[in-house]
Amino acid sequence: MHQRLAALLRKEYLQFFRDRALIYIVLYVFTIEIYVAGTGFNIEVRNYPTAVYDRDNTQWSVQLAEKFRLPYFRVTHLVHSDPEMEALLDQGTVSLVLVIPYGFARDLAEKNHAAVQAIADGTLSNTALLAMGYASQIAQEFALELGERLGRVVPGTEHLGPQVQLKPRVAYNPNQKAEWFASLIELFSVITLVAILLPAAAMVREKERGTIEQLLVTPITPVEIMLAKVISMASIVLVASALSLFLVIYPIFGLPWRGNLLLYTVATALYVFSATGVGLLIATVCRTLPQTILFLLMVIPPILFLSGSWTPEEALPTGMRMVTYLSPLKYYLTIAYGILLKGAGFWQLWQHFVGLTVLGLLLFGFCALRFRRYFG
Amino acid sequence: MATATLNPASPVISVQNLSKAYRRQPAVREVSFELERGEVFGLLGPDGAGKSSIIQMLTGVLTKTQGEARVAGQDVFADPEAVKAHIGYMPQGLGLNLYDSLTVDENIDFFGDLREVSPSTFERNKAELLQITRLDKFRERPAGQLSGGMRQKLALCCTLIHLPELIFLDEPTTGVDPISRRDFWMIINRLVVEQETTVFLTTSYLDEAERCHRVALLHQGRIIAQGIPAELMSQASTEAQGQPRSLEEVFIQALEPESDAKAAPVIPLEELAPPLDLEDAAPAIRVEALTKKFGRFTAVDQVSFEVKTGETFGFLGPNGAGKTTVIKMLTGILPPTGGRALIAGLELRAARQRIKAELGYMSQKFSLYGDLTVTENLRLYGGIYRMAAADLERRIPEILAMADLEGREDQFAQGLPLGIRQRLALGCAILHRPRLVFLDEPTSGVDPRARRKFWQIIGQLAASGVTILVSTHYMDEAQHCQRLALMHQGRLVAVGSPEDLRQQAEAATGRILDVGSPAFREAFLLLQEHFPQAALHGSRIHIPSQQPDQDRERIQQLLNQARLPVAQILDSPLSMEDTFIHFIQAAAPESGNDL
Amino acid sequence: MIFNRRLQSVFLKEIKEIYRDKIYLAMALVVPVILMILFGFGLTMDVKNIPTAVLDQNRSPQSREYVARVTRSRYFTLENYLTEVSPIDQELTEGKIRLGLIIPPNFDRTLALGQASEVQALIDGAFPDRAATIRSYLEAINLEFNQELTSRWHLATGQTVPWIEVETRAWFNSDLESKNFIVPGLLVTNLFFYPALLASIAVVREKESGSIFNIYCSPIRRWEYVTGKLLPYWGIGLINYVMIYLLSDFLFDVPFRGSFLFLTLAAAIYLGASTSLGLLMSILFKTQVAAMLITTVATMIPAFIYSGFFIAVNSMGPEAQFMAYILPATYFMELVRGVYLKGLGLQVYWPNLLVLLLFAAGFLSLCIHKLQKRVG
Repeated sequence: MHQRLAALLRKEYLQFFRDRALIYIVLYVFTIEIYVAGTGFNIEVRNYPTAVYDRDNTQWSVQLAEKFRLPYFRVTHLVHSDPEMEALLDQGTVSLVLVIPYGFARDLAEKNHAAVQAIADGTLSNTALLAMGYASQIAQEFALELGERLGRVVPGTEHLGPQVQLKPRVAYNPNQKAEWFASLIELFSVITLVAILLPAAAMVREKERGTIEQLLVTPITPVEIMLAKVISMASIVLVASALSLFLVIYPIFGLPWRGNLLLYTVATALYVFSATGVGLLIATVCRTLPQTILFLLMVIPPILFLSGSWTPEEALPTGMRMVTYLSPLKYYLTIAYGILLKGAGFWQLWQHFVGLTVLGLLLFGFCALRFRRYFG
Repeated sequence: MATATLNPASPVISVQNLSKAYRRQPAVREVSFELERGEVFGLLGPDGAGKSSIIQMLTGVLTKTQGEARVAGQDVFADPEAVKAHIGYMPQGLGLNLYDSLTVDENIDFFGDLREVSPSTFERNKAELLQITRLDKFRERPAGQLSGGMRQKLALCCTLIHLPELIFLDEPTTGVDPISRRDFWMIINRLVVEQETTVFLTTSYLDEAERCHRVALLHQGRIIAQGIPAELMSQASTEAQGQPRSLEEVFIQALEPESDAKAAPVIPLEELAPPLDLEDAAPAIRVEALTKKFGRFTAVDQVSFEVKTGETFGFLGPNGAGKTTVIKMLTGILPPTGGRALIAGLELRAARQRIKAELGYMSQKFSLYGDLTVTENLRLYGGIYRMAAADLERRIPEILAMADLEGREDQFAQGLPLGIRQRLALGCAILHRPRLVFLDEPTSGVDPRARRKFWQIIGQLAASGVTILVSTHYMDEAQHCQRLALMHQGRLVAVGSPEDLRQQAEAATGRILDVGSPAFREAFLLLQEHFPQAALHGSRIHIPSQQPDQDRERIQQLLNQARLPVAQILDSPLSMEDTFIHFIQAAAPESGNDL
Repeated sequence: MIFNRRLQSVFLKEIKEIYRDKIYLAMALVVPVILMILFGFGLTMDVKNIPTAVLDQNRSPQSREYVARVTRSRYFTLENYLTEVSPIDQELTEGKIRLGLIIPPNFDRTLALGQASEVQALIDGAFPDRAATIRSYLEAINLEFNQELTSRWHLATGQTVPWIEVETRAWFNSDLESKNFIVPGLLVTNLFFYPALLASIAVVREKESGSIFNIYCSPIRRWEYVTGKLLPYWGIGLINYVMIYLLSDFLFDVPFRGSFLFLTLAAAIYLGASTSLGLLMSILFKTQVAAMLITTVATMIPAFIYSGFFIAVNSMGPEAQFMAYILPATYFMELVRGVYLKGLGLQVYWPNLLVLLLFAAGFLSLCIHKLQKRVG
């Protein structure tokens, strides 16, 4: 068993390292691709295109409008009529219109209370929500500033009356650096992609070229063929992901050193093994590379999307939420984030480890079964 | 058939110093030849000799590197589109240019539309072509469900639907069953005789050359000999000592001056395989009613035979006959649907791991790891068969010497020429000294010299006591086997030694009278009236005869009456192909009709 | 009605081949529907039902009122209501909750004194965009709570502090549901990469099988072949379009305010562009694998990232905006969301239609130009 497996493993590594193009692609996706994704991803509200419809046109209304400025809002238009405002929103030229009604300053002076409207283009609902939140905050700050200027409020909070001061603290990522999130998400996606694709392609290639038949006539068992593929490809993915952590994510994006890297490596190994299991499973079904690609196209996006990486699982309908338990990435994502970002230890994550292991074993066992039946 | 308006331009094809290189790698080197109208010209050579490149340049789908070519009076490189209206082209592969999901009818219609053949002409040509190819019963059948021979005939119908004055056929008969092949040549000859169509074809079967008026032998992009087949053979035979006259000899002799491998040294293989335990007197292979079905299609139908220990047993048959499927079942890759197979007396399924260690297998297509070197491939199999390190170190040089691979140890397998690659594949298959070796079409597409060398190695193996089961679609390779199994459409039609089989067939159908005449077209039309089985072989007429002496006089008489000149009438034995056809028809008298 | 016999024969042959290849046909018609259902349900940008733990050290009616404000909204779900000092940090680390609220012991007394009381909010920062959204929700709720507190206090003490209320309104998507922009967005992305992928094997398959020689060696003109090849795939794209449209209406219940006729016209042109892009890849590459892989990479990823699917084009960086403008999907994205949510039509989107037409014509002429009736 050892000698045969060793011979096969040597073959797998030789073949991988002979394929220059493949090496470059793997290196690229594990370094440059992760760097690009880490810097390029930004879903925050920045430069939100805004128009101001000032019907009051007083000193105070102008001052309020001036508070809408970069980096959040970029005021590009001053509108003077309803149709004009509608046209701007319709055509998507601006995404927010601040409407200051007639009598704004008068109300503020007399009743101490005035209302303005923030009309957002709700098409992209998540950014619209954030923008409306910022608009409220700006208006509130302006009101306080005005109160101080008018001498109605003495600087300092005591005289404002009772009030709950919310002190939000964003844990693990206090400055809300999108690079950490984006680069890690990209790393996990790339691990998934490569760990499924590499063994699937390697296996289907042997089927297409007929070399698999040559192997099956020898005393090698199907499980040995499978193990050779899994061990070689998994080890390559592990080394590549270490490269991306130590060459890109830690040094360039300055991810803080938290958590136990050994534990992380164990989790990654577990995950990569189950992902290669998925890849080999696909290889037992598909006969040609084009088929494999179509199949992967149907398998990989759900694994990515249903892991909670892009969409918060809490927001999914119940049925969909049950489906997420089938995505091995879901467990791995929680574990990897837990270790790398939150510095969690094994005992805080053991349930997810159990989930990952069980799912991995199931996938692996099913794959071995298929292999035995298919090639045996 | 409708008479096509012929372009009187002559010669029809004229090629001068034509060369083609792919990324500076020469594929065709300065070839020159001409074709007259109504001529059948054969370009002979192994895979990779440059045949397809030449044909593609002449049909205007490949650019040249140097040289000139005029086709149907047009400069094919200056205005390829002008040439395309005059020609028909059938690319390589068994009907690979057909659309599998389209029916026979729809395929022909598509080609008619593509060529914009006028409806009346189209209907007439289609009806006639379907009738002479005997495809008219299968008009509604999708092309994907036709046998290889039928596909090839359909592809020919599609190519001929607009009755081109010039047809290009790239390996039209490779792997085709003998009956379809005979039909195929009948159509070609009919076009040549009736329409004076010009035919340019390539083939890797050297024995097919006799069917051409003129041939050119191509090797590594160069024409090494050119002329009328009979003349080429007679030149060769003066030099060869004791070898039968054949184009293979011409080919090898033409190469000798430029190759150093005059007589490849035969390296004796000691201890290649220890003698079998004589206690198991069971035959090496025993097959009983072996059957394999894929869905509704029966690939192998109730096949039974025995191979004795130490025997070289040949599986002869066209592509799709079921040869590969039988071998795959014997090696355990495919489970049989019915019947059983015993290897050295052991049930295959029961003692699989034990049997596997004793087997060597070389699969149909080149199936080594192309991105590994020669030694790496050998070492991989050494490891897989758990050979001891010391043994492997001793064995590898032995294999390298046997397969003539010395000096190529560190080359990548994919860069090796086909013939040498096949020897490496054989080396990997016998590295662990198996007692039983399966070789699935090991010589397909290999050049004659490499083929001869390959058979030498097989001979050595056999001499050292190894049992060999080898499959091939080359009829002329039958002579290398002690016993033969003829396979056709999943069934065994005959088993026996080559000579026995030939004599049986001859007893039933007679010998062949080979008539040569300068006016062979007219002679053929005349003789056909009296001998319905007469067939054209190039510029010669073959007539099977039970009473050769009487028939010879009758032929002489008929031709004299018509004042047609007679060069010679020879009495020759049945070829392996004719023998095969006899057994196919004997096995199922109907089968000749639904091929 | 034969207007061009050769074109028609290629067209009919292609249709027959597609129709008889049941697997391909099923893939062509069913996969977009599956992708649509999977992504339509699985891809949500809504941040809701956020698992929340509360550590209420005050345990007063007022603190409970405050907590109720938070957890009553559809955004937060109360996982754990703690009154003792507890491992709230740990729950965050384990990934059980995404928000921890800590209310101080003297919450109600401080407020009664007319002073400010601090409430701590611990937000999981692993997903920065979600953290920002959570924060903005919390602040909005907090603001509302304060507003009531202040006005009551004003009444009681007669003090006056200026107050500006921001009435927010979201046009076009008043409930701010992400499915209303995700689902029409999927119409755009899926009709970009999938028809391209289907068409990407059209010619290269004939190259691999060898039947392309029939075309090379016949008098057929290049435009006839390209057009005859393209039309069936374009037709499949139209069927996909109708099915996705129906799903958006009946399954996802996305409001449709514009003209179906106009959308269909635009989709027809857009499909012309995406199919001919796929066909171009088929003409340029020699193997099915290469053509499919390159088409997937060149269409799928840009369609999701640069077309404005998640992030509005006008808030992208300059490089990303450049990518957006050379992508047909961007122009169609604007149009589709406008037709669906804003009810706009030709009078606004004729420039988009024109650009799409140019793309389609450009790709098609490239196809004709690049198709050489030659090998290599």
